[in-house]
Order: sequence, then structure tokens, then C-alpha cells
Amino acid sequence: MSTESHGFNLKEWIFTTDHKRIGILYLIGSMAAFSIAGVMALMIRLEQSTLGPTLVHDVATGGSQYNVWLYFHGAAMILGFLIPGLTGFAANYFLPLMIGAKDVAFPRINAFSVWLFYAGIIMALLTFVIGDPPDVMWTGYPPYSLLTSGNTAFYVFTVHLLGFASILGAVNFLVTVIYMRAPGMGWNQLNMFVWSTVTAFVIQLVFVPVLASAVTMLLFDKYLGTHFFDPSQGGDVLLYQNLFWFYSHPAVYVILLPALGILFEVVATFSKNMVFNYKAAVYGGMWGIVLISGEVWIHHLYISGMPDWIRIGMMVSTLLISVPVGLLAISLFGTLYRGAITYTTAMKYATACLFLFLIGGLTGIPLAMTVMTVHLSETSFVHAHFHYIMGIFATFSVFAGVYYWFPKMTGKMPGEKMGNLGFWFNFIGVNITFFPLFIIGIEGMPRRYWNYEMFPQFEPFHKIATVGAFLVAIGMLLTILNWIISAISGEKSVANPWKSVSLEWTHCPNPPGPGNFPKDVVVSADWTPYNYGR
Amino acid sequence: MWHKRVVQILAGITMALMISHVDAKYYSNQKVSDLDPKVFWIDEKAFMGIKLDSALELVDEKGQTRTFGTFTGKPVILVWSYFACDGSCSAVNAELLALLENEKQVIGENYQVLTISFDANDTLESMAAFKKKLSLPDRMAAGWHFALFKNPDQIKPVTSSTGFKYFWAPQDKTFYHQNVFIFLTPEGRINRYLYALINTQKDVGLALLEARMGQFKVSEVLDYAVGLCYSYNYKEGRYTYNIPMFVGLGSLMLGIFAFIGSVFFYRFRKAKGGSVK
Repeated sequence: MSTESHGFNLKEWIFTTDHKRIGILYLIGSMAAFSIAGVMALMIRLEQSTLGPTLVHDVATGGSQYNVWLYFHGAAMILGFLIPGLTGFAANYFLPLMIGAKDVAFPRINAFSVWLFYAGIIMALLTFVIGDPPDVMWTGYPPYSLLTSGNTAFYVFTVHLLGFASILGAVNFLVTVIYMRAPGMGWNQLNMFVWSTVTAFVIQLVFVPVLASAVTMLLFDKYLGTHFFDPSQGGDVLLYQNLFWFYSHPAVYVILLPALGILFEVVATFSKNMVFNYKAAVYGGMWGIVLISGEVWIHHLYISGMPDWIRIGMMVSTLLISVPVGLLAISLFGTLYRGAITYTTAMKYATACLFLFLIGGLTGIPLAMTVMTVHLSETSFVHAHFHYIMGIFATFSVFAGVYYWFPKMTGKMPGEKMGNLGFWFNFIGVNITFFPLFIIGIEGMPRRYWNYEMFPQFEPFHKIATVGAFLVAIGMLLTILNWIISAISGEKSVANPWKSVSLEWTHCPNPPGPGNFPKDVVVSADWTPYNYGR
Repeated sequence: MWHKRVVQILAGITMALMISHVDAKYYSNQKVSDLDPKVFWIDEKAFMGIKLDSALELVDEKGQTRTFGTFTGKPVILVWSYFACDGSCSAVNAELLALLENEKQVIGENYQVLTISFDANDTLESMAAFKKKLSLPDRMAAGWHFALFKNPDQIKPVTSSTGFKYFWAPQDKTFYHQNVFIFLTPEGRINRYLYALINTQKDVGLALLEARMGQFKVSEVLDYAVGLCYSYNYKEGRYTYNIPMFVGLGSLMLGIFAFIGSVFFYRFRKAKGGSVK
């Protein structure tokens, strides 16, 4: 249990072992990564807004320059924002509160993991300082990553630091949930967010080390003369892709699950409804995803070369994962059914997520099918699909969570007017940005091309997408400003402004003090975090 | 008389030494072969996946015309040979026989072998003589076929389409050619090349397993799993341990062990009544 004071003290924040402060540190760090990744996204879109060079200075090296932006945008969004934002910030701050725990199982390890996270972020930011920044996307595929003059080591060490932080976090939270639940709290009384983070951490724990080992072998190949991935020397270049996606596809669920978990909390609270089909959603949906997530990675390699029978098997398992995902979607929509819905900013983001989830999920089906994915692979259709299902959906979910828990973290109410304005800019902006990419993707617009002079017919679509990106930039700016202004001078929040029945709202003050709960929490057998008496 | 004999012997030794010296000098200066070994390399990536024409007409051991497609439907090990060959062809086929004798996968049931002559002068008689010399055991004879091209004009284009090269050397009255086992999928597509004389039974077994394209029984799942521990090494031309796969699998355990360790640590500290930090 933490015994730190409430007053601001930088040293206390740096050396804190309080899970709430660590959660805030994760939020700040991940928002920093998000902001810079956003600037990179704007540069990418600006570059594509015209046929020839727009921002690149030198046509000959324009590709490398553009690749650095892509690298930072991808790596920072996934490894620096989405995963730490969901499993670092949200899980750290709210998971112990939801289970009635005074702290996490290993507070010092928790503090160490946030230091590692910051070291990883700093390492990623150094990309802009060094003369030979990594230009290997977030995937680091050999042979390019081995042959490039870009500094692949920075990529590898960033993955190591953030991966190690993830493993430590996973171990910590799993032990916390298993051993530190409030007396009386059974497994079927856990919040959906708790279940979602538990399942996400199981995936992290099992799969992150595989990514770490893959990038370590990459490092050895590039700098120590080994040939793990060099076929001309007896290595196997495709194996890197297999190892990479063996982690990185499940990583999609590491993002998706906690994002859905946040949505369940927001949707249940603002609909004042029980979670529909709780057990089916938890055991069929979340654990179903854990079970199948390790057997679908090969759909990322359909065009890399493999026997047909493996393609067919992986197509089946990929399509199969839509069953647990579907159970979760049904549960979310069912929770809304006949609910007393209040459309706060948090709820608006949550309902927008349902729309994005639908678009992103449905466009994933053709990509799972071998016959269609051969045509669609490496086109902007894929680009649009994963931005809908992973990028925007999960970002909106984090925003829904921040708005929902804002009174809990700050003791202040978030500004609704500015929040609304930001929401609409964001929602309209993302659709204007990414929907045109589906259309030109089907027509053959390749991904990752900074110069697409051979496809002049796509220029108008890129211009529209760029306009959308700037609308999103305005929306994001409004959102972050709203949080800062509300935290400083917002209206003081009442104890339970949303009238939730979950423990983090009913049993501890805003913001919670050291030890979280003024009194020990005990729950009865008939208690649930969604008992709205409806 | 004896001293004359000694002089002859000494002269012989001296001459032999001189010749060997000349040879040694010649060969030491001969850093590389006159023959560019690249001539016999198969650019595997250019040929892998190519499907042989199933309508190709061949003549079997009984003199009947059969299309190539009638030999497919299960993996095929294709061996280009010529039956009048008194050199490597017999040795290569005999080596394949030795490699397959203890193979778990059953010839005729799980795969077939097809030795086709690329010599237009070969006949049913030379084919029969070649087969007889090979002395196939009965259990293997049913799945090991021999054939000739029905139309000799097709020999060059068809063999070339598999990456196979051969040259007629008039002075030696022999063909110079590659000695390679070509593994075809049940569909008749090239799936792997294994070069004769450097491969083991394990390599042939793995190449066969690969060529089956997932058509294995439940009882063979373990064999297939073991097969995943190896990957084809293009540099060495044989299967070697798939080290990154082992590293990846080993790392899978890392997180799980970390979790188990932390559970024990937590329970241990709690049992001692201390706080866990």
C-alpha cells in the first residue's frame, strides 16, 4: 500500500509505487507517443495528398524518409500508445479499484515496468535525433531490416523495453486478480474490464517473448553476423514473419479486449443495464479469443508463400475467431437494448466504437478469405481495415474510458461542450480519412507508397483523406485541451456522477487516496458491478 | 642382372616422382575447375511450384502409353536418368533405394518414385535391364515406376522446365547431368530438390512429408510436428535444425515460467506474513 502524500512532488511521482499514479504516468507517456504518432500521420497524409513529392526533400531518398514516418507512426501507435494506454493506464488505475484491492501484487515491479515503458518511449523518440533512424515499419521484416542503413537496433531495443514492461505488467495483474479480490468476490462478479485485461495479459504473457526472441535474432543477424533469417546462408527469412505475427496478431486482441472491456463499463453504466449474456461474453467471447488467437497469424502471410492446405486451415481458424468476437458484439449491443441511455461524451465515443467495430470487423472477413486477400493484400484496403478495427476503435475506446473515469482520476467533471465538439471532429474526420481508402484499395492502391504517380486516378481520394486527417487533428487537439482545462478548472465532481454500481465508483472517493478504499471492501454473493435493478 | 633391375626400379620411381611433381604443380596452379559448377546449379526459386504437364505422354515398363498425370495423385520423387548410363545413374537410383528402404512412409501408398529416361535412344529393353540391375525389393517395385518419353522431341523442353540440365559429351560417349531427386506434390508441382549423395534418410523423409501438402493421417501428426523442427537449408541443400523455431518455442515458456514464479513468490511472502513489494 502506498503512503505517499497528495501534494505534487516530482520525486514522488518518479519513484511512486502507487498503481494510480503509475496509471497516470502510463496515460501521460502514451498520450505523448500518440501525439507524435499523430504528427507523423499528418505528414504521411500530406505526402500522399499530391502525386509527386510533397514533403520529402530529396526524391532519391524520399522513400527512406517516408519509411521513418511510417515506422514511428506504427511503432508508437501500437507499442507506445494503444497497448500501454489500455493495459498500462486503464488496467493500472482501475483494475485494483474494481476488484476492491488496496494495491497491486508487486508494486515495485509495477513501478519498474513504467520506467521501462518510459525508456522505450525515449528510445523511440531518439529516432528523430539520430542520423540513421530505423525505417523498418513496426514489423522489421528481413531482409530489408538487415540491409537498410537505418538503425534497426533502435527498433529492437524499443521492442525489448516495451515488451519487458508488458510481461512485468501481465505477471503483476494476473497475480493481483487471482489473489487480491475483495472478500466474497467470485469470478462471475468481476467487471468486464477486469476480465478483458486478464485475458489480454494472458495473451501478452504467452506471446510477447516470442516477438522479443524474433527481434533479438534480427539484431544478431544484423550486427553479430549470424544468419537466422538469411536464406543464402542457410537461414529462413519467412520464419521471422511467422514469429513476428505469432505475437503481433494476438497483440491485436491485447488491444481489442481491454478496449471492449472499457466499452462494456461505459455502455452498462450509461444504459443502466446489466451486461447482456455476461458468461457467454466472458467464457465464450474473451476466453474464446485467447484460445483461437494463437492459431490465426498466418493470414498475415497469405501472399508470402506457403502450402495451400495451411492457407485453408488458417482461413478457417481466422473466420472462426469471428464467433467469440461476435459473442462480445452481441453482448455489447444487447446491453444497450431497452437501456436508459444517456449520451455523454464518453457514451458517444462508446457508441461510435460500435459503428467502427462493425465496419472494421466486416471488412476483416474478406481479408480472412484466401481467395480475396490475395487481391487485397498490401493495398490501402488493409490499411483502412486495421485503422478502423484497431487504430480508431481502440483510440476511441481509450477516449471513452478517459471521459468516463475523468471524475474518478481528477475529482473534476470533463467539459461536455468541448468534449462533444472534439468527438464530432474526430468521428467525422476518421471516416473521411479512412473510408476512401477502402474504395481505392479495392481498385489497387498499394500501401506504403509515398509516390503513386503510376496511379493518378487515386489522387482525389488521397486529398479527401488528407482533409479528414486534419479534421481529426483538430478533434484530438480539442480533446486533449479539454482534458487539461477540465483537470485544472473543471466543475467539481460529485462522488458518483454517473451513478454506477461498480466498486471504483461506490466505495472510494474521487480521486482515491492512498490504499484506495477508506474501509475494507467486502461484497455479498448477489452483488454484481452491473446491478441496476432492471 | 639384378643391378639392371634396380636401375629400372629407381628409374621408374624417379619418373613417377617427376610425373607426380608435374601433376602436383599442375593441379596446384589449377585453382578452379575448367567446368563452371554453376552450369549444374538449379536456380530452385525459379522452378519451385512449377506444375508438370499432366498430359505428357510416357511409355511405361509394359510398353503402354501413360500420361504423366496417371503417376500423380500422391507425392512423386522424380529422377531424371538414362538407362544406358554406366556411371552415376545407377548409383543415384541405388542411393535413393537405400534411403527409402527404411522410410516410414509407404511407397505406393503415400508416395511414388518415377525414374524417367532423358535419352531418346533408350528402349524398353535398356529400361528393363536398368530396373533389373537396381534389384528393387518386391514391396518397393509396386511404387517405383520407370518410363520413357513417347515423343523424344519433348525431352529437352520438359526436363528444362524442371531445371534439369544435361549435355552429351561425344568424346566420352556419355551424358553429363545433374543427380537430383525432384519432389513433386500430388498435383505434380515441384516442391523440393534434394541433391544425390549429400542427403540422408531424414532429408528424404522430410521432403516427402512436405510434398504431401498436409495429406497426413492423425497417426502421423507427431511426424509432422517433428518435421517442423527442421527447415530446408538452401545453402547446404539439405534439412537442418530450425533454430529460430526452437528459440521462439523456448521463449513461449518464458512468460509462463515468470507467472508461475511470481505466484510462488507471492504465496511465499504472504505465508511469511510480509508485504509483497
